[in-house]
Amino acid sequence: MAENAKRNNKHLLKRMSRQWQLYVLLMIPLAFALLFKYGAMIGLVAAFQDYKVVKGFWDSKWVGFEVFRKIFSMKNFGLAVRNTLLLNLLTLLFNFPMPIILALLLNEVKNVVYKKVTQTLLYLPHFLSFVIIGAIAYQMFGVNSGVVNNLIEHLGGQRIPFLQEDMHWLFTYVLVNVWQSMGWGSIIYLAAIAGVNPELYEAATIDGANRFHKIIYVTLPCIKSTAVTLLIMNLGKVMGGSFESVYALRNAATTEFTTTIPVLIYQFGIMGGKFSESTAMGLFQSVVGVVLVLVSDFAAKKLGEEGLI
Amino acid sequence: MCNRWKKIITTVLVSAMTMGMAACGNSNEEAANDTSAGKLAQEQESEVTEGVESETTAYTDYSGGFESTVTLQIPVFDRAYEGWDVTDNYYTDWVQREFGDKYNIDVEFVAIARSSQVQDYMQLLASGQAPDIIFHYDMPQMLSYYGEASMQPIDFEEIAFYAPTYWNNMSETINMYGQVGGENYFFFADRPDAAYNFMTVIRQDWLDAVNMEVPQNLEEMNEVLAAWKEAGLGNGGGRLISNSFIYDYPYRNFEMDEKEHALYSDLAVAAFTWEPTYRYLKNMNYQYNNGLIDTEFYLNTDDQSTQADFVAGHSGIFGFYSSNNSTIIESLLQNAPEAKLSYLPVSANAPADCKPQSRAYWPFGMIMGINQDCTDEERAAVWMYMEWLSQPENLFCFQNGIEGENYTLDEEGLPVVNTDYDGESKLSPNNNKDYWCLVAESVTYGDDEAKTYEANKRLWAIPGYEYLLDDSYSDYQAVAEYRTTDALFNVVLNSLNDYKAELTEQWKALYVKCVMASEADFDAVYEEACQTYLDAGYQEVLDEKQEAIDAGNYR
Amino acid sequence: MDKSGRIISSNVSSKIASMLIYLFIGLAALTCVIPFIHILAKSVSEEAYVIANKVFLWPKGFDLDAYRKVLGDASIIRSFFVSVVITVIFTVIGMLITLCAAYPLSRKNLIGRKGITMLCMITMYFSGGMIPEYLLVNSLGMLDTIWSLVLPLAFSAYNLLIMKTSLQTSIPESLLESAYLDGASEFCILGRIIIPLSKPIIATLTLFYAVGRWNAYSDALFYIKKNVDLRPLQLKLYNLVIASTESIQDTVEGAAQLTNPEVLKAASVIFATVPIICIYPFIQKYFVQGTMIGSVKE
Repeated sequence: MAENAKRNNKHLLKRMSRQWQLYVLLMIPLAFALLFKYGAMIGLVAAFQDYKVVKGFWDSKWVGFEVFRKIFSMKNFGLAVRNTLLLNLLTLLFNFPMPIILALLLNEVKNVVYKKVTQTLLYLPHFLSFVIIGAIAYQMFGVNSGVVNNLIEHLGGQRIPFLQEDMHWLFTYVLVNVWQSMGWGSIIYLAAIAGVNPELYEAATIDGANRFHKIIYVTLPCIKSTAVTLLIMNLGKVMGGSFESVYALRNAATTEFTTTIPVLIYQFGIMGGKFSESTAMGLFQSVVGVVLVLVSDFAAKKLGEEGLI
Repeated sequence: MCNRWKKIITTVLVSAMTMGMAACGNSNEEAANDTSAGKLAQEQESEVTEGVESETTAYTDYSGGFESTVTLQIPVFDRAYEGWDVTDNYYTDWVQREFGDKYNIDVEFVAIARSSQVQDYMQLLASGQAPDIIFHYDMPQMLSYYGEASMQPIDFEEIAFYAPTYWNNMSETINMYGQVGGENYFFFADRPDAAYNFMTVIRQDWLDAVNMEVPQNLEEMNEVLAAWKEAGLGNGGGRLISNSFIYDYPYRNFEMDEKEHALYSDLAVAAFTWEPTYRYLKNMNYQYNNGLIDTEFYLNTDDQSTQADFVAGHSGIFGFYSSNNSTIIESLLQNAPEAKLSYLPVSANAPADCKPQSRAYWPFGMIMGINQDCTDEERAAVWMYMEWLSQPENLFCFQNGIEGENYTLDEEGLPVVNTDYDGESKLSPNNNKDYWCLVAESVTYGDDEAKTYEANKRLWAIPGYEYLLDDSYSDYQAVAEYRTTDALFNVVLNSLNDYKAELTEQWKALYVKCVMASEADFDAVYEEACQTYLDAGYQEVLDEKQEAIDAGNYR
Repeated sequence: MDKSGRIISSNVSSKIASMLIYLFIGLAALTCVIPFIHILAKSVSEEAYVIANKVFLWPKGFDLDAYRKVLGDASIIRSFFVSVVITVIFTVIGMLITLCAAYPLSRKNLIGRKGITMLCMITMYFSGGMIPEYLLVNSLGMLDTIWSLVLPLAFSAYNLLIMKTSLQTSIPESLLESAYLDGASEFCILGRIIIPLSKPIIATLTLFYAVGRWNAYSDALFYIKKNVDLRPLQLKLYNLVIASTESIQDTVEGAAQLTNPEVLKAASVIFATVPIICIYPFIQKYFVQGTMIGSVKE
């Protein structure tokens, strides 16, 4: 038994010694991660303190889980959790497949100029801040004077409160988010598709596969692991997500779905200057995120995928 | 006799404090600082002894300059003006030359971004780099800085000693409002009673079109709006109220009970459950349902969107801070060349049975405190800077620049701005206000009211529309007796800090809901909204305020 | 007959499918360009019409003055160069880190692989927050230096994990085996095999790094205070568009906030966005299929 362990150890050392070069490579990135990412995580202790800036993280009073008790018992905390999950899952539901579909379609475009131009145009919205997108969205979809509604009325239809009624708002929110990110998101899949061996397509053609078959049996399997990686990483963000997109698109008349965890963090941290509360809420988000990543990674592996970790 | 004893005691206290602070410095800072801190204590001690001997004063006189260079860090708002470097320009050099060099003080300006000032201060405080003065325009935020233990108590006599002119100007205000938690913390910049730069204008050509006069009360106003709607001219505008809750003033009872006033009147939190709010919302609801105001008022979340409606000719009423470089009227005329404007009096918002009330500013502008890690010398330097800044000639130069370059003096002794000037002593786009706001919020010429108005007019009146500011000025004086300030508490209201952000969010959602309810449903919707608002924390705010009021901790 | 009929019909349906695809992509692209046309139209219109919200897709009162102003402002031009420099340095460092981490972590027999991957993954979800990050940068003496904009964000777990996945799937194990048999060191494999074989993903992540850095301003907002010459373009843009228009406490302060002309804002948005958009076509050429197989055959 002991001998076995010893042999294992020896084996391990031998393997490790052969891998020293890989560890050397890892040193630079790990140094960055430890210094700049973990170095700042000391700040997370504020979630367990009555943090005062002047006293700092060492001398502020420790309060245990008092801050968490406070935020969990907040009246709209439950509402915020519900909304965050709803908005993020709904967005993910469309945001995840849409770039893949777009990449597959773009891959079918054989006209090089058309492909390059449309591709470039499709990723433009990624460069606009949500403040600008929000302003334009209201100019387009506003009930009284929105361009789209003017058009609808002109065509004999009824004006639609795209952003000024709760359920419509939800729909528009998802639409705008998907629209904003689909082009940008497709880049990574286009890169993955570029890595597909052309011989596989040739072989499929010889087997009599049509375009659709080639997509299903050649392209998709080749980009599957990238898709799984992205899906797992994004699942970790369903308790977080962007504060700007909600903030820029919401208005005072449709507030049913707009109280989310990131919005609460903003209210606490930036508006209220309550560092302990905003840190605690961020920590809650992070823990949920990492747990979701680990669970989905485990599930992916059970399903025979490489997974993330 | 009594005074002398007080001074001796202060002397002892000051020297004890100096020693204590020096000791603190020793333990915290690196070795390099040790010697200077020690020296400081020694110096202080020797000079203090001298002071006691001559029995004149408890404070060291630095009018000959500090022995070793003192670094004075003054905060200044960075409003992100293009081409303006807030920390290094002609005027920062000028301060160093005229003030700093004279007293062996190294004046450093620390930029505080106007749009993220609280974050900036928090980061600077956390890293121990905050300037010697901590400032904010708003009392609740100052109390929150105080709650962060970022400030040290101050000694009013020390101010009087180092900054007699400043103290003479502001002592009344400082004595009145400078305390929190039973100790002195705050000092202030003067705010002359001259808030007539905010004005509301109304489309006179629209009034002419429906044959009506400028409305003098709310009922007349609603008639005008109805007539405009009838004639297809436009509506009364409207915007989302999301901060600075002063909407209910015209609906308040005049000369109300002081305690009721203290309980509800608050810039930071809307008094949703208060009778004046009910009346305000009731009227809004009426206006909304009858199409008198912009039915999408809740989308107008910033000045820009209300301005767009006015300039485009969708709405005929617009309130704004007038300034001589405002382009609003010019833009309006480009879109609607026939437009004519009149001043809309304050009373137009008040029902006929109410007085034309509005909010009075506190008698102070900028609220300041001394950074907790300021040394005695640095604090003295702050007071000396306040004193220097309070000298009329220095203030005048800061506000107007260099004679012959930025301006010329006319026969009344008022500066005539050379608008084309683009030389090295060019003023910042808001006339250097972010520097001189430490002592004054607007330009004054002492008690010469007419001259002050004339000077303000040059800064505030839109060329060609001077009559608007004249009207605003006379209306401002006419309703002066109906202006009241909010109550100020001299204890920290924790519930207010805790719930302020949440209550603001609730207010927006709930009041919009009330306004948009049908007229028949209004009362029921309001009732329900009140309950939601109370549950969201307002009840706790009211309870804590009541407690403070009962204890007499308000002014 | 039957067979040829099927071929013809499948050709027809393929044509129809192609047309639908072209149409869908074209329409989607069109919606994406609308906001830009809107901003472009505003940037060449007259201010009075823009603030009245009268300009949507077509300029009103044509005026190029805003661009003259932007291009004539020395500080904006300098900010542009600051942005270019930090973007280049940042991207190089970021890619170096990513490659150095992704290759070892893609090797399944690396001992401690899971633990290290986890360590990296966690940084994606946990962050210390604004104040500790500021304190860190401050204590490293990087405030008001170019490094505060280059080093703290250079490690990106997101890019790293994408790279790792890509290497795991696209590099055939057999290739590495034969390299070992030839006695190649790990550094040699990384430089000679991995990098040439991963051009599409390297190009993509380069784009991610570059765009991410170009578009970010919040770190500069807090880290670049005194040294105004180091303000990147996006911070300038933020100041122009957002900071000077906020009227949060007008009533408390009691004074007019000066705002920048809308036309100038629009012109600045265009000026700040167009350069970074222009790098995409250069990236695109690495997306051509077969890049990889060509390198293998070499």
